[in-house]
Amino acid sequence: MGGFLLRKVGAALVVLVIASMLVFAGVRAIPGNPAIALGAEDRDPALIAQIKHKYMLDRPLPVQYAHWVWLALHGDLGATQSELPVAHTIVQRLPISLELAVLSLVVSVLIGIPAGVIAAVRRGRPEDYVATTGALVGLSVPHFWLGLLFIIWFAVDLHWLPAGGYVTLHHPLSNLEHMVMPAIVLGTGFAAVLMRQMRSSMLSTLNADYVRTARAKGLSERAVVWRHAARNSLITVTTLLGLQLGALISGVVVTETVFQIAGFGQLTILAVNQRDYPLIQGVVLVTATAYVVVNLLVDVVYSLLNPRIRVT
Amino acid sequence: MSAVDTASLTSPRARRRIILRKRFLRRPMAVAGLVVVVGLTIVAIFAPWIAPYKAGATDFNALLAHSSSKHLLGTDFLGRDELSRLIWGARASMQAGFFATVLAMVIAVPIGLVAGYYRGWVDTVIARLTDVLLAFPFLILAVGLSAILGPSLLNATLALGIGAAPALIRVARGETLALREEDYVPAAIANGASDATIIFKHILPNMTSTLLVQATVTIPLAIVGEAVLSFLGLGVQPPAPSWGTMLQDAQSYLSQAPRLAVYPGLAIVVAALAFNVLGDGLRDIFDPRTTR
Repeated sequence: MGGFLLRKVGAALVVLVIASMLVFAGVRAIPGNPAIALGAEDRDPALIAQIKHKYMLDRPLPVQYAHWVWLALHGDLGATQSELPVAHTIVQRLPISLELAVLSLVVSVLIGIPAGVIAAVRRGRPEDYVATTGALVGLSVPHFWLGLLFIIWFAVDLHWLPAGGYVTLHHPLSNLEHMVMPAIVLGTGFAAVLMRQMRSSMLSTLNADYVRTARAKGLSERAVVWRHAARNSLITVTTLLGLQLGALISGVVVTETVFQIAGFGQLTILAVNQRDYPLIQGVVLVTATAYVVVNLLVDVVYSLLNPRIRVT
Repeated sequence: MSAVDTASLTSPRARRRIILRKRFLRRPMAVAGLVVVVGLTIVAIFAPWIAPYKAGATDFNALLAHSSSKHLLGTDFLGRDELSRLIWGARASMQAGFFATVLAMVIAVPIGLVAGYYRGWVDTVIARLTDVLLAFPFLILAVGLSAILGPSLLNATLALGIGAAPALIRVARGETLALREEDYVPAAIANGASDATIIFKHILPNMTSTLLVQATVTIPLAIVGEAVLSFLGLGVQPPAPSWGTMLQDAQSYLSQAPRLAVYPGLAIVVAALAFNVLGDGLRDIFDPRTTR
């Protein structure tokens, strides 16, 4: 187990270092001289040299990179155009997006897992047909469009829910009221992915020897399906969660834009629209890091659930 | 001549084609998907001849107009014909869907082949690089690219293509791992075939059906992705028509003209659903386990 963990952590570190190099190189690839952009419009050579020196732009690239990483490791991602610390701005917005992500995951698990199990058990019957068709539609409907439709139906026409915005968790009811639509919109898309994975994984576990044994020893069908087959099918589904994280992050960005939730996603789009390069750099770096860390955690959890994987 | 005679006279390859066609025609959903896909392609290519108006043509006597004989689906806030913009918008979607998938294939297939064929440290290095690619979801990639190069349909397509590559690399690698164990590989080695010959002449042709299925399910992802990016202002730039930019425009008129938010979304769903259904059908007919 120790060796397995060490290998996984090592691989994750390698990925993080390369990813950070890409982010660093990407910002350097932006056309224009940052020293001139930073206030030396009169192109006074002395001032430009001073700015270059201040931001270490006169040093070789590897030195600049090392310096940048050093600062990033200490939580300093530079300052936004409006002179606010990038790290602080991002940290402020993250909890909002995390709440949205968690709520939509809850929605998707509540719909996707039972639907997948039922579809597999009732294979070829109407229930299976309804669930698989629903999943196919769910895969083809873009979240953001569903969001617009929900706003038209539940906010504009019926006045049941607010059309957008965010209320902090200090007002739990109002918070929930604002999060219901975004969470359902984002969650249903993932429910479709989860349902398909769960169904195919269930179809193979239902044929496994231990399921036959469970049936042979007279367990009720319910116990066989949920306690034996479904629990083991969930193991394969956990890896899917890690791989789907990228889609989840993209989904959060879009959903926050549609519902005007001032989270990490909206910050990302704001950064692009204002061409705030330090902020873009910070946002991309944080996303990549989150992806690597979460996938490392998924690998670890997976190896705990399925000990066979540690050998290979 | 009876069916048996025809079958015995044709080559194995032609016979396989006949079997596949029969299996395909037995799946009405897949056939419907193919019909819609072909239809959309025609609409996208011949948009200038099919659309009743030019994409940017404004009619200031009919702003946010309801549907009429003049404007079948009504007009938007600038009096532009909604139907015409939908037809022109199909171009951006199909272009992004097609070219992003081609790009993803061009990146992924050779990498997957090499990783699966040579295994060992080559495979490990490629696996790490794939992990790096995966750490940048397509939207974040598009954010980065549009920061460096400015937002455009081309950059959105690049982001979608690169974003779709890691999944395809895994598929191509997995297929290669399995195919290199087939008997014809040692046979080719015994015949003195080079690695390149084995990879491109023996392994690649045997995974074309898998790749075709993967392409069919990657296209709808790219179509939806293009709409998302254009909606966010990271893809097609207004006033150019795209289903995503149309939805972005519609967002300001949700209470006055909700239909403007409905049509482009329906177009996206129809396109994505058609490709997904076709992809599912192709997967079924190529999969020998579902042979009937």
